[in-house]
Amino acid sequence: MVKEVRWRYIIFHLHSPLSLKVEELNNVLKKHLRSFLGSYGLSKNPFKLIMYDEKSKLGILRCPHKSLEVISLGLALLSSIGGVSSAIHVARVTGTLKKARSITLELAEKLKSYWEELEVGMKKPSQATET
Amino acid sequence: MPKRRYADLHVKVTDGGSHPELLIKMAKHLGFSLIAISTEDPYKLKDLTAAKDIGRSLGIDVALRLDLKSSNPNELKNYLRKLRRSVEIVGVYCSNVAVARMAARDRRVDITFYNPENVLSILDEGQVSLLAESGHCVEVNFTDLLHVGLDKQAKVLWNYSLMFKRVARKGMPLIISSGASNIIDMRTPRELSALAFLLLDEDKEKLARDMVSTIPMKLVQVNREKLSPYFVQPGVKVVNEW
Repeated sequence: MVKEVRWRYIIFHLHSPLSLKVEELNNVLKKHLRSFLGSYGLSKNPFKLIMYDEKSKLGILRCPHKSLEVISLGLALLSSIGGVSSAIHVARVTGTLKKARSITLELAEKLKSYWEELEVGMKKPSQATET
Repeated sequence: MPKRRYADLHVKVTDGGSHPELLIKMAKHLGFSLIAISTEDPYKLKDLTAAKDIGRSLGIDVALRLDLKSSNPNELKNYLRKLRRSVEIVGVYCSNVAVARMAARDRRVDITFYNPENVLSILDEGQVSLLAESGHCVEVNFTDLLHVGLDKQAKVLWNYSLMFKRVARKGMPLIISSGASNIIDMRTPRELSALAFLLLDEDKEKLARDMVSTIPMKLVQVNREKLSPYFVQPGVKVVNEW
């Protein structure tokens, strides 16, 4: 039987000096994508935050396969959270949640040192020396 | 099938922006194989040559780009005469029709880019025909859509979608770049191609991907061949000297 909706799982990384909790990020994404797509657009391109790891700042977002480009662009257009410069980068896209979870674990380990260095570069000089 | 390689041909080095090393590291992290580090100041080109070594050590190809932002066509010609052979890519910001026409006719220019708010008045049918003859690339910068209000964002998207139709009708090459000067404004190849995909008509996923991979890659490759001492003219090069 042919599936009604073919889901895609977007593995994203939040580049931000802020430490957001899952609920906070969910609210930010909902608010941002609603303003970008509108109510009608959101009904055609639904999404759901499946998981978000506050430590590695990696998360998984689910959307229909036909909405992949719209949601990716919507995420890319996010440039600040609460007035703080931030970005969401789409790292990978998978067809199953199982695969998405395993890739998220791999990425978290592989790029740990990379992100620490880059996130220092995102902060203002005064913020970077505070720690 | 070989793995697709991605390029971002517009990463700006400015005084208030991120350090070139950080920009290169971020590009590598985002999955680019090639980036072009650009400056608007010809005197800073010497400082940027060190970026090539940094790129080599990190395993990413770095090209140098000069952005010319002049409102006077004669001034633009002078810069092109002096600096064309010192950089791999020359981009011209077309702020008015006179500069746009001159840039479209001049073979030393590689890329033209526009103000998204008045792009439709400058990139009219005449400009598109001239660009199609010379084979220049038209560039869209992702940062034009960032840090602006929703109304302006919608206007920019509308202008770019019409521009894409005009340009695609003539089969001209389009490039999507980040145009970022700060690492926080850089985007992944998938995000850049998502913009192209939505601005193009449906069923053009391959073309959208080409705008961040094969088209910019080919441009840099051709220009490097031209800058080589063995280059004579397209299709002719010195293979052995007596």
